Amino acid sequence: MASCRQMGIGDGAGWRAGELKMTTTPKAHDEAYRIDREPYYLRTSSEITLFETAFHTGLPMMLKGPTGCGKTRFVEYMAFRLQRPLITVACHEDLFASDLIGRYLLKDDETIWVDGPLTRAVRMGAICYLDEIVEARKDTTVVIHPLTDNRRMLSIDKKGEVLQAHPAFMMVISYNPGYQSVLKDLKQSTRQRFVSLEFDYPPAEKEAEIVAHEGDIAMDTALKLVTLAGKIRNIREQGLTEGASTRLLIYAARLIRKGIAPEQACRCAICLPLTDDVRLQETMNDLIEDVF
Amino acid sequence: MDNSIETLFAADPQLAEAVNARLLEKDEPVDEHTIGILVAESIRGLCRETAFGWAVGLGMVELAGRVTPENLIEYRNIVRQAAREGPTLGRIMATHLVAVFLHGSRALLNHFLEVTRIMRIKGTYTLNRPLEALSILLKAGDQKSAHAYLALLEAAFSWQLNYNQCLRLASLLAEAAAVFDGTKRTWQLEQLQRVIRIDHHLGQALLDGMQKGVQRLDRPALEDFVGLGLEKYRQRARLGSKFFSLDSKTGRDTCRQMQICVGLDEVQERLNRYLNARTAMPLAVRPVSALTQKHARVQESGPGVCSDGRFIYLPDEIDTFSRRSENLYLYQVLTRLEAAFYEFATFDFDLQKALEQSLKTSPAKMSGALLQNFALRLEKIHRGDHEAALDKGGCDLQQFFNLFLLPALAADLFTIFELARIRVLLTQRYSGLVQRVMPLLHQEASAGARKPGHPLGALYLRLALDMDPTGVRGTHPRHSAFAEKTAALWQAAAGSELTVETGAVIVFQTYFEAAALADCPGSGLAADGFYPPFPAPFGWRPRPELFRSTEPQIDRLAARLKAALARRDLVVYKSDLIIRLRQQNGHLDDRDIQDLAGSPLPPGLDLEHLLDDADLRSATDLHVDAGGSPVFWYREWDCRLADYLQRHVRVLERPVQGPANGFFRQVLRRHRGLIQRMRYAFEMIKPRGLTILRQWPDGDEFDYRALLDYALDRRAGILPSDRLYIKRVKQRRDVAVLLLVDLSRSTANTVPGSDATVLEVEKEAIVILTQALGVLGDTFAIAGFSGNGRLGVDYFRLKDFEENLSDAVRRRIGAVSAQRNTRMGAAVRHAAVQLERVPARVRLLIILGDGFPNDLDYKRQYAVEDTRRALFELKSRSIYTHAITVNQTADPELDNLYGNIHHSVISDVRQLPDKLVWIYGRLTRS
Repeated sequence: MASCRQMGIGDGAGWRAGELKMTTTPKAHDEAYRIDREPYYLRTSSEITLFETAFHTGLPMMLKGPTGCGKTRFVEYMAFRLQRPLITVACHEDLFASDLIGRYLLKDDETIWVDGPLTRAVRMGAICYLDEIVEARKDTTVVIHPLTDNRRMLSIDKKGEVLQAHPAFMMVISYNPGYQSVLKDLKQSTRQRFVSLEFDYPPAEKEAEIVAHEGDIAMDTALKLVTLAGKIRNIREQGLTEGASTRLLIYAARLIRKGIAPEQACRCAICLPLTDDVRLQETMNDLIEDVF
Repeated sequence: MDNSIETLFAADPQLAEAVNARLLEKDEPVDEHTIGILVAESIRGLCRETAFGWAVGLGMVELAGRVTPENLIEYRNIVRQAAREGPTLGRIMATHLVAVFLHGSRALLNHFLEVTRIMRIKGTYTLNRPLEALSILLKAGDQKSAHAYLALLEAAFSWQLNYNQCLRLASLLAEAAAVFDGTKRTWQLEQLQRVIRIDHHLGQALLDGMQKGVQRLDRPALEDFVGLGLEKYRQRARLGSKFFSLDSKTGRDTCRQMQICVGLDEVQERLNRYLNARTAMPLAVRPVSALTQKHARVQESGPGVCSDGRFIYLPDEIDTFSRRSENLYLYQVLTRLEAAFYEFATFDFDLQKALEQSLKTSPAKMSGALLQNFALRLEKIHRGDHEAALDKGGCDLQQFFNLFLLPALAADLFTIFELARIRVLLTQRYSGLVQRVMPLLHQEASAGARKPGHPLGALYLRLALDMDPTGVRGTHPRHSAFAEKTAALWQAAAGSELTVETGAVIVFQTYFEAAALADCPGSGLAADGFYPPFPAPFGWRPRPELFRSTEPQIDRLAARLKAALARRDLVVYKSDLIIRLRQQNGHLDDRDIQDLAGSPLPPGLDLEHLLDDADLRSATDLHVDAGGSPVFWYREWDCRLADYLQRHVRVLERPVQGPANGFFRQVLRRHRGLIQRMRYAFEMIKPRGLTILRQWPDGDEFDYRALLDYALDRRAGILPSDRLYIKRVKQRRDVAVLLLVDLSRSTANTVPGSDATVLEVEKEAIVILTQALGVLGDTFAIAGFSGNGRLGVDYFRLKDFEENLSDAVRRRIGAVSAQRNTRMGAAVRHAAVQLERVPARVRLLIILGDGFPNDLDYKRQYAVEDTRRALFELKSRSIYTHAITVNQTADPELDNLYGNIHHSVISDVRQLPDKLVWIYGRLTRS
């Protein structure tokens, strides 16, 4: 059960909703994965143009970058911009090929085939986003290979079916190079199928704009949060495996917005999630005191 | 030479000359009668023993003219009386009585005589060192401490003591008087006396405790601490002693709770981490005592701060406030303030920019000389003058100040404008810091304002602290008016763009008015041409005279490049070049130059030409013969610098070859029982391949038992479960381990009760571990290391990760022998590189050693800190470490070195083979 929960759309509304809608019209099915409202995304470089070009030329895309720097948000934004449905799968070490492709299930007295998220994306021409791909088992990653080269096809062994990908289908994967162990590094055979975009924390002013927008706080408070994050990112060499992410800054901003004192919000949303090391927390507290 | 001295000359010409020289140095001539006594007593002494005669002669000449004739006679009598017991005692008294007569009172003399009487009973040998210490106290003018010290000697030598005890006490107490801090010495000696009165053994314990932190207690706290210690002593003598020496937890806790004074060593790490985070520069804090006396001018009274580009110098200890937390906070405040100069690039001041901007705003009434100075200097820079480029006159800031007639006044003005800029920037970025720090600065400035008003005091209050100076007592109305006028000028300049050069422009504009103000009859400050520098609160001001760049190569390169460009009429600012070079790790290309110059390079000119022109092609590297072994360079952490020494340690990978000596087989045979048990235990740890999860909500196959239940439930009308599948999950153990064995000389020692050496037992343990790892299927490598200075760290690869446990590997394990020292940091870093190449989910480094790291120039704290740092680096690269120390008793320092949960101590090395396998099993159990 645990493994199902970890799948972004495995046992949640998306997956089940998808199942129910399989029996209805394909159009309605497609709609379930569409993003209705434009997600907030602030362009930092030429990433939008690059993504669009990859989409139009049928190239799969790999997004690299630290935790919480906006990779997922970017994909959502691009899905909206390109008006394509988006199917997201959060990968984990117990993700089987069948979890991606599909499997037979018992329904009433029948055994019926249910497409997995990847198959569904291939059929409907969605953007399939495999988040943190390196967390998935190696044998699982291999199923995406025929989809990510010029063949653009998916073989469903259990059904004996070979699916040609919808022209609008796009495969997007993401991973965090700094956080993974050598073991979890992507194999060259997988790597060399993707065009790649590197993400990092946005420049200070843009990051502040994002934090102010997402956290619904004043720009000067957002700037302070970004200043703090910049300082905390400087202590990575001292034992922090990751610097403070933009996501954490947004969390802090939201707490501040709801009336929590900035110092406390920063401690709870930034300092404590980052490390258990008391001495590093002490330094972060010193920085929080300086900024607020 | 008068007659008497001539007599002495006949007896001992050298003494006579020495005495005469001192007599001539005296302000008032010494009367003949006194000289007569001096000569007579000296000759009398010389007759007994030369050294005694010298002591008397020099003692009396010292006293002559400085004490009354009666006192001189008294001195003579006391010395004579002492000499009756022997010339040695006479000499000691003649030497040390001088300070008593010169600096002491009648009461002190009596006390002195009484104490020396008591000590003489024990033996003359007890007197020398303690009395030397007493003389030092008296010469320092510390009469109170001298009394306390005499009372301490009295208490100590009133005990029944044997010869050795006397010697130990004499040296101990002399040392105590010397090491105690001047301001605390009197009452610290009193408390030491209080302890010694109860038991003289306790003196040593308290002195040990003093070195560990008791010296930081203030007077009432020390009294309480000693009271508590004595109470403990009365309950149980050993407990009391451990309490005083801080060897007991209660002692340490009590001392910590009572401490008000904070030492820099207690907060150093925290402050360094903060600096690293705040400035992202390799800045660290250091005690101000590490600065030379000349530069230590931080603050005449109270704690202060200064920095030199690499270190921020802070007081060795702070006890300004009555609460420890406040003293601790003051350290933080001083660090935070000084860090601002680095964060806001005060020392990136560019002389060319400052001169250009100043000359643009040249006021009409500007004096010709200064204007000319500025113009000449700027012309030199534009010409690409080499001398100008090479900073012969110090850093740019210093050169700027030197353009003025009164550089100190220019420096003060600049300081105030720069502090104002920093205040504005801090307010924008660190409102919390400003809220907390400004009140302290206000308080300190107000305390300073009570002293006679400095002409720039009002300007400081107005700009640096944003205070209204008019209400502050002692502020001259002219000073206030100047402050207001200058503040308006500053505000106008600051409105456009606030750079470090902005301050220089206003210095240029206001210098003459400030000089006139300093020269005004009311202040009289510069009347004699001497301008006393402004006493900034906490001494917080840029100190360009101390500043040395952390990257001198970059500065030099930028300066030369700038000069080479200037000679080709290309205007590029040095500071811009430095910043670009820093951003790009010392690399530049043609586009950078074009970008900075704002125009394309002239045809035929590129960076190569410029570099040739700037004569920058002489890079050499350290070359040492490695004897054909693969060579690797690693950095090393220098805790004194709080920075890495890049490419400092050379690691050589040495081959190990040995004959087939059957060692491996012998060990397997000898320990077959253990190996059998261990194999069984490890089979249990080993994962079983596939785990089948039944009745799972999804999976690859149906679980037919669940299907049956499903059918039955349906038939019975019960809502059936949807858990109908079987799921197979493959379990994999993916561990790579590197066993790093210390091959230092000490491993050649034999194990007590056995013929085997420590290394042989370690090797046995390795053999057994290889069997365990074989069962588990873990990837493993074995390596040994040894050190012989920073250029000779040997790394022996006994088994690589990809190698099988072949005969060659077995031979290598058998052949490895004890080598030299233990330079652990570099070996750990090299091992980490090997481990990182292995694709494993869990990577583990096990260090097997027999003590602390130790090598040439790599001892104690330095070695421990570097090793800790290396282990820390591994942690950040997701490599687990575990250290196993054999043949050592558990030492708290090992916790400090490896972290308390990351090491095991096996005091009896014979248990290693058994325990190593057990530890490994525990470490990697899934």
